[in-house]
Order: sequence, then structure tokens, then C-alpha cells
Amino acid sequence: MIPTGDVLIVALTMFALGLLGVIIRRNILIVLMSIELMLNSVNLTLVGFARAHGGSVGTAGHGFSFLIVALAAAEAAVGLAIVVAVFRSYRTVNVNNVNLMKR
Amino acid sequence: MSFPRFTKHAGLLSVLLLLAIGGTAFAQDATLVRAEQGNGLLWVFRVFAVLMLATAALTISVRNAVVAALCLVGTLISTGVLFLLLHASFLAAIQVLVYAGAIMVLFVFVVMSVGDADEHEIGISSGLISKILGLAALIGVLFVVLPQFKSQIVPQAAPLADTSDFGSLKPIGRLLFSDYLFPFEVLSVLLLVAIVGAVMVSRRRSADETVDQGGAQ
Amino acid sequence: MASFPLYWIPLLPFLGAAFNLLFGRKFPRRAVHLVSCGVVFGALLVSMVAVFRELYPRWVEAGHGGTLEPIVNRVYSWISVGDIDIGLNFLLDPLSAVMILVITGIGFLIHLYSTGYMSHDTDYARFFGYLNLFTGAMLVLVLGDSLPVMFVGWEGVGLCSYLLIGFWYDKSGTERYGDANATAGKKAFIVNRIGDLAFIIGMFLLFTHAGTLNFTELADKADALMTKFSPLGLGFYVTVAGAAGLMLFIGATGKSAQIPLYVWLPDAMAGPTPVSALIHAATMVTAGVYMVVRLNFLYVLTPAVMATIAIVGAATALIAALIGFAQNDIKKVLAYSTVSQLGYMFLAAGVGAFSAALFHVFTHAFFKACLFLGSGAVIHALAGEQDMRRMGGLAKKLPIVRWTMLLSTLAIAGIVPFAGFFSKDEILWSVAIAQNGTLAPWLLKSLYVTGLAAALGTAFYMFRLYFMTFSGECRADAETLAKFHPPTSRMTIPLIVLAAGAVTTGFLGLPHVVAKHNIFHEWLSPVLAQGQRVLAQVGSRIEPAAAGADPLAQANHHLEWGLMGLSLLIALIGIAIATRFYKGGVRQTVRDLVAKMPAVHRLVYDKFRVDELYGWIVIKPFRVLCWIFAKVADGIIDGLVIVAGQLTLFVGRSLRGIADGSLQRYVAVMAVGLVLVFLAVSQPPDDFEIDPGETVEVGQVVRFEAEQSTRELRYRWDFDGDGKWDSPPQQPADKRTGEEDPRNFARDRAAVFRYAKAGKYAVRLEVRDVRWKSRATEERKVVVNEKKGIKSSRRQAAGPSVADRRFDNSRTDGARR
Repeated sequence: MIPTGDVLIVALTMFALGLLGVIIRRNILIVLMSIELMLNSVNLTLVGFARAHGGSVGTAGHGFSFLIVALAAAEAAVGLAIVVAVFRSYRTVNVNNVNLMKR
Repeated sequence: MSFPRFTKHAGLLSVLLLLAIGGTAFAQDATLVRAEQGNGLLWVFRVFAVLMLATAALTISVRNAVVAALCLVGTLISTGVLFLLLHASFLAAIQVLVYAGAIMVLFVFVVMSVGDADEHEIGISSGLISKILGLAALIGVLFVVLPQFKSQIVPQAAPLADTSDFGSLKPIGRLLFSDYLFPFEVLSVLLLVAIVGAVMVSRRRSADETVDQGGAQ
Repeated sequence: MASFPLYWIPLLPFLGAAFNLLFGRKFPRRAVHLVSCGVVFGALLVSMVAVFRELYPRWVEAGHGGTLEPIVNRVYSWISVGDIDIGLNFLLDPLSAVMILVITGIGFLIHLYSTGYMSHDTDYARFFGYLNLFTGAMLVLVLGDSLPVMFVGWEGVGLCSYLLIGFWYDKSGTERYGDANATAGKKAFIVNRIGDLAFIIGMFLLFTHAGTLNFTELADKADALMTKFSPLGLGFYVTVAGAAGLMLFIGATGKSAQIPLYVWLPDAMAGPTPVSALIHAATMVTAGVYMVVRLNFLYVLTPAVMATIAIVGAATALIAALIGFAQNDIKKVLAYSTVSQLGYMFLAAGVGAFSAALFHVFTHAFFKACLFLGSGAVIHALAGEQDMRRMGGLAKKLPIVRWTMLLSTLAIAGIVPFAGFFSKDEILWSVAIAQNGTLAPWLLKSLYVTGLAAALGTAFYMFRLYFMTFSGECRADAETLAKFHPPTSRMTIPLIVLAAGAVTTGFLGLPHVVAKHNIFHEWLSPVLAQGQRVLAQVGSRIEPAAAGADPLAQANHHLEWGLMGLSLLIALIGIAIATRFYKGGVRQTVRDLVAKMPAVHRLVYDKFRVDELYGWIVIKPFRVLCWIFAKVADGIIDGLVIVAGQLTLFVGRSLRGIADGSLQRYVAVMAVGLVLVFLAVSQPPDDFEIDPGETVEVGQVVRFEAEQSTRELRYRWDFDGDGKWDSPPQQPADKRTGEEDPRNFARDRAAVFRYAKAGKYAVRLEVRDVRWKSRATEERKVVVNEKKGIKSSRRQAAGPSVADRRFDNSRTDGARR
């Protein structure tokens, strides 16, 4: 049996990596990918706990994960559309150059 | 030292992908999964966990966006393997099909469609503060939260019966169409909205519609 | 029992005001004045029903000197906070009955007159709206059953007075239509504020010491009113009745134009003449007198304040009469005449002749309203001319006005048998026989002489006015005469009615020597009985002796006849002098006299320069103060504000770098913050208490107790600071894993220790969170002294018992977990 704690450690590490990516990367696309990493790690956590609890509770956890996957799809679609729009306006995907909030 | 170009690493990535797919096939061996005896399965878990974290680290560190996308595919497939090990077979399938398949195709498509080669080579933020804060957050999260996962409050799994259909399509489907029908339907509407929104945002505007956009067009 | 709906009496005019002010402009004039006069007439009818159908039977039942249960109409509870419970209640007793009949009756006549007088004005609806509003407010004033409700009306009439004085605020160009109108309104308002402040202070005093502001309840609190207190802790002691009475009287000097606050009333003549008649002669300015009469039970307790009132009244009566000699503006003369007559009323109230005061209010309302309306008719006819030097010879042109004004002039001058004679004579008679322990007898006598002199003056200046206006040749220029138009019936009918009143109303208050019943006095007796009752209760405690019972009771027939003759003679002398000087116009004798004494004339003409005096003693210092404050505001306060602003700017500039719009940095900061929150939450609470304290004795049982927490915590202690854990007993670490033995920590958060040696110790507690696996340590010092005496052992005995209890608590806590 796989210890739940191990699953959580792996998931958390991945989450931290995703967070780091969001913070330090300048490429919007990679920032989006980092967000996918974070969502993925949350999914892993849910599945780990679902396994630990088992039964109908675990099935509910799987249901949640399923919903999150769908949500991630929606997020990716909209996020990438925004990237395309931004690129069309600024001719770049570097977040340092997309700083309307600064002005 | 510039990071190696995508083409030079095609070989490495191919190996990673093969490993991932092979692992999936390996983990799908039902007898092995059900047995859950000894350390064999634990080792499978450890290998794929390391693979997942390594590819994740690569995703956020390589300069080239295409490479990053491919690394992310490796991460997602590895996660799928972990799902299988955790008896979430349906989710593992969804993970590979939707995540590693559909979403990543979308990513690669956008990566390829925007900008030229230089745009794929944007590195790490130049700001020192961001770097420090980011690392501090990473280390802090790892060192503050991680120790708890060893404590007794984390529930541990019990072995499943051979006949258990836990994690398979049937119970999940039943659940989604009974107790979680409303969230499920809302989610379908959300997807529709996302599609329409994506089309609206990214559609090319005609010249007269264009607001001043810094002379970019 | 449903009481008579008195609230309709003020409500009707208020409804009319609402209609006229909100929608009046959209309706024709006909609708405006029909509504306006209609509601006042309605209020008159309701008042008459209330008085004659409801109150009169009760009055008859009560009989003379009996207690009359007044009609109280509770509308709703207005303010109910803590001890304060003030209802919007209306009270109808003989006193308010007189007032509401005067207000609605004369008010209706003046409304009627205004439809003629204001017929050329463009702002018809606004005028009638204000007039209705005034009527409503005045009715609230007199019907209110407590001081706060009265104050609402008091302020309401003040507001309407302001609005109506400044009614022609925007006209300019001629003498009459100047910016001065608005200024006069402001002057009236501001001068009244001074009085109102005192009025409010009076209410505070009464409420603080008597606990109520309701008239009926106050009258039953004679004891509370007689308590002495030291105002502002100044060291001297006054009675509540004295302090509150004086404050309320100062309020009355504002509203009723007495010295020293009378200066606004002559200026208030800037308003349209019907306004002067209604507000500044017949009703509003008598509110102060009404208030004093209403609170007669309060004033009889305080002879000093009564004396003050009498002196102020007499002085006002005389000085205003003197100023009236030299005025040329017809309305100004009447204004000073009003001030003078109000002085009479206060003089009467001041000597305890409350019914005489109110009787003069009553008769004065008729003849002064008539005089004002008559002068208004003259002004109207001469297209706005107010200067008497350009009038004259109008007797033939305006016969009705002339005759009605003549009757009223005779009334105010005090010629028998017109109304003014009876009321004024009753006042003078009261003054002549008045007693007041505070005042020296000669001062009381001089009050009477002052009253007589004022009567002489009144007769003189009123006939001066009459002769200059109506007799001799017309001195108006041709242009004015070309625009001459006689008054319509709407204006003359009220004049005739009022003149009839001026002739006849005096018979309601015939003196004792003439008639057995003084109807007016008997009618009011239930109200004045309050004062008698209060005197009977606490009269013996009043220092110096109280003003005697109602002076009218102790009549000396011969003296009364004599004094009556004297006042009539005085009035005739005044008229004779006026005839000699002014019949047929200003005669040469007057010019000579003025030429001989130019300084005196100028002084009187300039109203004794009181306005200038106030300018020097009030306004100039005020301006200096303003200048100082302006400097302070500019320099210090502005400086502070600027510094604060600069500081904000500086901090903003310094921090601007952080908010650089970089979302990634925001995310990073959020993440770091999240980690910090985690850290803070994971830290177990490590505070602990030492029982019995930080200083203990050798051998004493000391109990250490860690802070309570809902978390699952374990504790261990080092009591003596040697670096080794003393409680619980420590086990060696697991040899195989190197992990610490869990038995090294105790579940109980309390521990006990006895110190064997004196000295200073560092007590250390380590707390471990089972769930979060985090630890925290806390260190505190304990001083251990050598054992002393019994004192400490007692403490020792007390200490553990408390600790034991806590100990048990922590046990059960642990068990529950």
C-alpha cells in the first residue's frame, strides 16, 4: 500500500514547484503551465485522500477530481485565448512587457 | 550558458515519454495493483513520483516553451500513473486523455502559433525580489507543511477487496449523475461559457474595430 | 377615553403650508388663498369647538378656584430614551384656549387681509405657505404640554419669522426693497439664537433637577424646584426655579423683544405688513409672555427673577416708547410701540399679575393687529410709501382705515372704554400694589412711575403717528398719488372686525371696582391656581418672602379709582401734547425743539445707538476672535493638515515601488504571507501562570499552569533553570530510532513544585503540539525568599486550593479529549 503521507508530500512539492513557476517565469505560457501543475497537484492530493478513505467518500473525491479536470480545461482554454489576444496587442508573451497595471 | 535548444533534447524527451507510457502500461497490470504486497508497488510509486517531480521542475526551468510543454506532458502522464497506483483508474484515463492529450495539444498549438523562436526563449524573471520571494515561498511551504504529513492525522488506506469497483467508471458516474448532478451540469455550462469566451477574446478584430493598441498591428 | 383630537388645530395649517409650498406655484392664486385661509378658518372652527364644547363645560364644573382637568391629547411618544419620555401631546386649558382663539381668529383675519395686500406680489404661494406654517408652529407652541414640544413651536415660529422678514430678499433698488431685508431676517434669527440657548439651558436645568419637562408634572414638583444647587460649581447657591426661570426668561427676552435682545424687532418690519401684524405684534412676540404665564408656578417661587422680569419689562416699556417719539417710518413707530407694550406685559408678569399680562396680550393682539393692518393699508394705498413725513391728509382718502385706526389708537393710548384702557390699567394697578421682598419699596414705586411714563409716551407717539398720517395736507408727491389705490373689502373687513375687537374686548376684564366678575381673570384662574398651590406648599421656604398672592385680590377701592383716573389723565396729557405738536402735520414748535436739542434728537432717532453699542461689545470682539481663529486655522491647523498630507505623499512614494503592477510579485508576497500564517498558527501557545505569584517562599507549594488551549498539547517543565526537565520524569531516547520518548511530556497543563533553597530561578516550559509537531518554549523568573511569618502561611493555604480547582479542570479537559 502506498502511504498517504508520501502522496501528499509529492503533491505538495509539485504544488510548490508550480507556485514557483508562477512567480518567477516571465513567459505567460509557462506561467499557465505552472498553474496546470498546481491544479494537477491538488488533484493528486484528492486522489490520495480518496484512496485513504475509500468507499463512497473516496468516490466523491474522484468526482471532485473529475470536475477539477474539466475546470482546468476551461481555464486553459480561456487563458490561452487571453495569451493569444495579448500577443496580438503587444507582439510578446513576456509578462514584463505586459504591465498595464503599472501605468 | 544558454539552455540547450529543443531539438538537441528530443532524444531525452523521447526517453521520458517512453518511460511514462511504459509505466502506465506496467501499472495497469491489475494483479499487481490488487496485490499490494511488499515493496514492489512502492518502488513503482517512488520511480514515478520522482519522474513527475523532475519533469515538473524542468517545466518551470527550461527556457524553451515547447520543451516546457513536453515536460509538462511527462508530468501529467506520471501523475496518471500515480492515479492508477491509487486505484483511480477512471481518473487516470481522464488524466491522460483530457490533460495530457487535449489540453496539452492546445498548449503546444498556442506555443507554436504565437511569436517567433525568440519568444520561446524567455527565461526566468530578472527581478531579484521575485526570485527570492519565490524561493522563500517554495522552501517555506515545503518545510512548514511537509512535517505534518507524517503525523497520525493523515488517514491510511485499507486494502481493497478483489471485487471492489473503487475508482472505476461506474460508481463515479452514478455519483455524478445523482448527488452531484447540479455541479456537473453547471460545469458543462461553464465549459460552454469558456469556449464562447475564448472565441470572443482571441478572435481577430477587423481594422475599424481595433482600438489603439500601441501601434502593434 | 379618546380625547378631543386637538392635533387637528395645528395640523390643518401645516397641511395648508405643505400644499402651498409644494404645489402652490402650479395653482392659480384663487386656489392658494382659498386653501390658506380655509385651513386657518378650519383651525379656528376646531378651536372654537374644543374651547366652547369641550373645555367650557369642564371649566363650569370646576367652578371658580376649583381644579380643572385640562384636555390632553396624546398624539405619540416622541422621545423615549432612558428616563426621558417626551410625548407629542397637546394640552388645552384656559390659557392655551385664549391663545389658540387669538392665533386662529386674528390669524384668519390677517390671512384674509393678506389676500388683498399681497395681490400684486409674484410669490403669492410662498407667502401664504409661510404664513400657514407660522400659524401651525404657533399653535404647537401654545398647545404643547411640555417644554420640548413648546420649544418645537418656539423654533418653528422663529424660522417662519426669519423666512417672512426676509420675504422680499431679492428685491433691491428702493429703500423698501433692499438687501437689508435679508439682513434683518438674519438679525432676528441670530438674536433669537441667544435667547434660545438660554431657553435650552433652562430646560436642561429643569430636567436635571425635576426629572420632567411636562408642565402638569412640573407643577407638582415644587420641592424639586426649590432645591438649591451651585451652578457650574461656582460656589454660590441658587434654587432650580430661580436659575431655570432666569434662563427661560432670557429665552423670552429674545422671542418677545425685551431688553437686551429687542433690537431685532424694529428691523423685522422689513417683512410684509401682514407679517408684522400677525407675527411681530399679535402672536409670536407674545410667546415669551405666554411662557412666563404658563410657568407661573415656577416663577412665583423665585421673587428675584420676578423682580428682574418686572424691571426689564418696565425699562423696555419706557425706552421703546422714547425711541418711538422720533421715528418717521410708520411701521418702525408701531414696532417700538409693540416692544413697549410687550414690556408692559412682562412688567405685569413680573409683579405676579399673570392674568393681567395675558389680558394685555389678548387686547393688544386686536388693536396692534388693527394698527399694523391699517398702516399696511396706508402703505399699500401709497404704493409702498412708509415715511410719515410724506403722508398726511389721508383721512378723507381712506375713511375706513382712518376710523378703525383712530379707534385702535385710542385703545392703545388707554382711553376709556377701549380695550387698552382696561388691560393697561389693570397692569398699572397691579404694579402699584405689588409686593416683592427682593425690591426696595421705592423701586417698586418707581416701576409704577415708569409704567405711567411709558403710558404717557404711548399716548403721545401713537397720536403723533395718527396725526402725521391722517391729518392736515397730503405731503405725498404727485407720482405716488397717481398710483394711489384704495383698499379692497378684503382689507377693510378685517380692519373693521379688529377695530370692533379693540373697542369691546376690554369688557372681558373689567376691574373689580366696576364689575363683580372679571371674566378673563376667572377664566384663567384654574391655571393660576397652580402657582397658588405651589406657594401653599413651599411658600414658607422662599427667601426673601414670596411675592404676595395675586395682587388683584387685595383691592383698595378708593386707591383703585384714583389710580384709574391718574392713568386716564396721563393718557389724555399725552394725546394733548401730540395734538399740540403734530395736528395737521409737524408743527414749527417741534422743529424748534429739535433744533434746540439736536444731539438728543439724533440719539433718540438712532434708537439710543444700541445697535452700535452691540456692534462694539459683541461684534467687534467676535471679529477679533474670528481673526485670531483664522490665523490659528491657517497657521497651525492648516500646517498640520499639510504635514499630514505630505506625510501621506511621502509614504505613498516610498511604497509605490511595491505595488508595481507585477502580478507575479503579488503572488509571491501572498505565498510568503501564507507561510507566515502557517508558522504563526502552528506555534503552540506557551504562556503560563505561577500561583501564588512570582515571589514565593521556601517550601511553599507553587503551582505552574500553562495557558488553556483547544489544541492537543503536551507540556514539560524545568523549574529550577538547570537545563534539565524536572516534570514529568524524563526517559532516555529510543536507542534504535533516536526518537524522543513520548512519556517525556505530560498531558496536564499544571505542575507543582516546592523550592528547597532561596534564590532566583528561571522557570522554563516547553509545549509541544501533537498534531502540528511544533514546539515552543517560554521562560519566566521566580524569586524564592526565605520563610517568614504567619502571613505567608495564610497565603500558602489559600494558594493551592485555587490551583487544585484548576488542576481538576485541566484533568476533565484532558479526559474529554
